[in-house]
Amino acid sequence: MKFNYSKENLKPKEAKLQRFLEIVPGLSSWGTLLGLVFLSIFFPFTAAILIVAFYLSWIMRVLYSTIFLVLSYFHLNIEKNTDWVKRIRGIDHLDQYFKDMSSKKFGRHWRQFISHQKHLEQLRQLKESTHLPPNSKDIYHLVIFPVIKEGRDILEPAIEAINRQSFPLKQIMVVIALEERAQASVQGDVRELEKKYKDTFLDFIVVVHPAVVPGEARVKGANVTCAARAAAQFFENNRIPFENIIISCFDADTVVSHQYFSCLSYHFMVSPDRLRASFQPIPMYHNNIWQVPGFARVVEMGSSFYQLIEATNPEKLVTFSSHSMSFKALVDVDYWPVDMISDDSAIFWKAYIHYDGKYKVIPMYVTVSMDVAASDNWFTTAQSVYKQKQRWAWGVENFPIVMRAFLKAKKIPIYERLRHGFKLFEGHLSWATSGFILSLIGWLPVFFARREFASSVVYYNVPEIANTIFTLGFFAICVTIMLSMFMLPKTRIRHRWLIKIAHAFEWLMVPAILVLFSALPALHAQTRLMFGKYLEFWVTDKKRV
Amino acid sequence: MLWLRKIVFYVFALLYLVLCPLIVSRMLGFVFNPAEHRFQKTGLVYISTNPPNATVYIDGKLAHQKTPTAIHDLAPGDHFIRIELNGYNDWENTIPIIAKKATVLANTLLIPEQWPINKISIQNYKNIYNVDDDIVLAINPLLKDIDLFHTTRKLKVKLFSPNSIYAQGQLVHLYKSFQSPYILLQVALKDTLKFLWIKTDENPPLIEDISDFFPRIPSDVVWNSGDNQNIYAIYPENVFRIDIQNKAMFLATLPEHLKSPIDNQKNRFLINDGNDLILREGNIIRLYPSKQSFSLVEIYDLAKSQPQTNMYFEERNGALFYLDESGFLSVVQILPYHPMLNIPIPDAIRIDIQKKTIL
Repeated sequence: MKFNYSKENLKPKEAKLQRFLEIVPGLSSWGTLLGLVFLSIFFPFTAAILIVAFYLSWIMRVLYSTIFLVLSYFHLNIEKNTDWVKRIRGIDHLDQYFKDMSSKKFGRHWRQFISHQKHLEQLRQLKESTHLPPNSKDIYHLVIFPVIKEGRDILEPAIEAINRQSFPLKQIMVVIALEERAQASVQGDVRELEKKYKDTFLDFIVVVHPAVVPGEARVKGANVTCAARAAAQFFENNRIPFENIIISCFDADTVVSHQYFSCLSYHFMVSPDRLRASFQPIPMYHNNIWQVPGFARVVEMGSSFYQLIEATNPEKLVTFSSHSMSFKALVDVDYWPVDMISDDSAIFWKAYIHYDGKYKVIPMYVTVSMDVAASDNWFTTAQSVYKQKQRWAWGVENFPIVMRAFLKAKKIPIYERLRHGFKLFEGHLSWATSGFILSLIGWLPVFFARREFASSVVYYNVPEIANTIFTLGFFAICVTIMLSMFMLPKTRIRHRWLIKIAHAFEWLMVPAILVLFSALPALHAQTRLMFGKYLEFWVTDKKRV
Repeated sequence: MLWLRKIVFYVFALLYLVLCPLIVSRMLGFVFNPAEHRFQKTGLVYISTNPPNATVYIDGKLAHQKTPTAIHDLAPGDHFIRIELNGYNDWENTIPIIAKKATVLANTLLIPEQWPINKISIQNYKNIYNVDDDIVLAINPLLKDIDLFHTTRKLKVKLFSPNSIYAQGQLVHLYKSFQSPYILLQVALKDTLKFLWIKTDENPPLIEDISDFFPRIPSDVVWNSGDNQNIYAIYPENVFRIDIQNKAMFLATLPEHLKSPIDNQKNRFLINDGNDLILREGNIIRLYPSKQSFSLVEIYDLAKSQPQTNMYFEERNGALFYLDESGFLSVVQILPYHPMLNIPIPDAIRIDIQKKTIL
């Protein structure tokens, strides 16, 4: 479907609808919170019933998520030692390779067995489809790093990580999308890196994005779009078909694991609908995780866990942060939105609408590591983390645009539109309200109790039920703490076990974190959208020692 | 993974649809009665005791949790409750339970088998007063025999040192204001009358002679506890405001909040002069729920005290200070346990223990 994925240049009727839909998430969140406060004061029985029903749904969701967090973690572990290069070379000779794989036996190596079974299933599906992949030697990777204030200390480790790839480097092209308004020192760093890595890859180019371009906002999407267009020219000149190119748009601090491009190539090859797919790795924030305050560590581990859980549900998965996609799809949808901050999720919705719902995100059990937002001291780090979360929550800007598109997109089944629409709405609503209800509002009926309510059994039963539910929640926290300790990178200091034990106690900050670094920035973002005070792009502070 | 996710989702959704109404019903006091195959409305009783950790029996059956506890799922009607704690007398009563309602027995005072009484003075006194929050002023006619007891610091201070020029004076009248650290003493010294303004929370107390402001004997002297500058001398025909710091005196009208008289009833007088915590009727002491934190409690024949003397119940420590039959200052720990937070217990159903009726 042809759809202008933007809030700009709309006809008056469309603009009114857009504005109305911009108000809906914020109004719903504020309505939920203030409604519960109102009910707690004037109708405490009703409030108590709603709150207990919410607590129960919350604990169900937590336990459900914990199950899939554990399974997803195991999946990540299972694929840790997979030889992706061997697999993609095998797919080049699919029939013979499938026969070989089918007859392969595994003894007690249960991890390899599970990985192999999944691999076989993917090969079977590929064989049954008519969309066979290009030869692995014909697959090219385009990697774009947008740069505005990231210096060499941030950017070089990211490029070095690509240099260490198991996938042939001469099939990888690196593009630095440099903002013209970047400081001279940053520009100098980029040029030095260009010289250093020019001959390492298929090519290494720097594309400077002009400071002012009519119709563009000062957002990352505009910068990377400019770079992707330049790369498209390069591929056209070199007669490399777009169908064979996978683009990865990474934040400048993204350090990919050495298997990343092999794993990505594999998933690209085994997916019959590879040209209508994005590929989502598991984001980790390990680059500087031991150099930031404890609360920031917990916040980012929580973000990683959320993505691990989401990875188990590809039907509802939406691209997030650093990810990859078919270059053909990117060109077809006319690149990223150039006037939106949440380009990472917007590109999925843009493609989903463009292809009438026939577009999906394929999860990859391979990690990319990024920086935790950090600054000079505890307070400014808290500010940076808050702003980063607000920027993430600004993904709510997609809601009105997607809803407008869904109202027109008759080719997308109604069930799919309802399912995605509900998830988008409910996701933002619970993001902005759950923390407040759990930590604060849930106690209001008891707090505001007047004679009638205070003399009821409900007054005494609500805290008991809440305590039982929170005890179950504590079990989920314990599982999370264990996984967190397994997943954290090793520290370079002595007594690392002591540090890890201290980290376990950092999870006790979860109730405060839920409010301060999750619900509050989300509510802030929704409120801004509700009042039409659109967020400016803000580059997260990155700091490493 | 996707199919597993779907299966688990539907299981959890089903679980939620079943559990949610059950838990909400339970929260509202509905409990399934297997004998009658139907849901039945129930009530609960909340019991907290002072001290806590007492064992509760309801209709002869042991409740699993110790106090403070809420005992749920009680059928409407009368239930017999017995509370036991080692070293304390059993507390027994029949209480009514109402469907969907909570009956509250908050801070039920358990009476010890032996009251822990301590004599804290080695001389006898004529009367005691409380000054400020934690000072007991124990008085005698001779000024050198008046002492201040700092109850929390467990410190005894002489109001006048034996070398003081006032040491041999006779106390004529004591003026004080509720919760003020200041007192005003009318003193007979040789043949003259003196008025001494004393700040009691200093060690030694600060004494200032302000007799010049009292050309006549006032019928009363009052001041606001938060005001350390102005006191009001009340005469039958007029009122004077005395500015202590600037040493000045003005004709004035008495502020409204200083006008209310103290309620003294026949044979039933307020203890703690102005603090409405305790009423004494003969040897019965009633601790009144003045600060909403404790329910009405009666203690019979607790203190064999000097008749017509004051008692002081220090709420923070739960201790009652009084003069025993010989006039020695004594203390009895009435409330052995003090909740961390002095939060009012919700105004639920109150039971009049004597009349066995719901208030």
